[in-house]
Amino acid sequence: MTQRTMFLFALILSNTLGLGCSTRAYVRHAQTAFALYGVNEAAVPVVETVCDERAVNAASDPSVPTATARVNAERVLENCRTAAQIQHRFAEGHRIWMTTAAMADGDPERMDIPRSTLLLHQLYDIYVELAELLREQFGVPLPAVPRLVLRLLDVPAEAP
Amino acid sequence: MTVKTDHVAHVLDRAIHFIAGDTAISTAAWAAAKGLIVLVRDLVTAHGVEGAETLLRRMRDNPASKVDLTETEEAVERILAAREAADSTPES
Repeated sequence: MTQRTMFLFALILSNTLGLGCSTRAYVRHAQTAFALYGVNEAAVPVVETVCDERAVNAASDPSVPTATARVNAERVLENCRTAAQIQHRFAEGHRIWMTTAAMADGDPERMDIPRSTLLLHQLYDIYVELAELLREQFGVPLPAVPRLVLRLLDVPAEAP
Repeated sequence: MTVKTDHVAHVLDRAIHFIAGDTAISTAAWAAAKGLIVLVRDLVTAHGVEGAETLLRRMRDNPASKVDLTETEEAVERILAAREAADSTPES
């Protein structure tokens, strides 16, 4: 809840600038991409730490025979590999978004806003998928990011 | 636009308390907290196209991190190999 407040707070603060339509869209897209980048950077050490703790504990569990410990550890690792695959999709998606942004070469008029919007929505969905997996399989929460933030990408047309 | 720093400090303070309460993953959570704080600071200071360019430059220079399970997989294999070796050693 706190991260949610923080995320909204930051985005709202940074989007009350009275800029032109394409410039405002450009700025908002860059900020949203950076916000998603930030939650990913926060999520990576959490995934790695939880996976390491759980898998090593399963392998070391003295209360079960070695063969059972191997099965248990492998089960944990399978969930971790799934989490890693999802997270790698995020990282790759973000790289593609960066390529899209780079094509604008700093000119808001040249930013492919529809493509950027699509990519940022996809990144959001991947993050949610990762957060759900971690919560269901490991009982670990990642910072909640409300879908509402994506509406900030919809910049209204400039008044005539 | 003037950013009210006391509001930012309040939000960050609440975030720190939230994450500090998660003892199960405390180490990683603190790292995450630091990441979020940097994120918020950057967002509130990123004004206009110049600010957006700064964010884009940072993301370009530091591409999104990827989870790496190599060390975990190696540690698990080491532990299990040691256990299997111990299991196969006849007790004296």
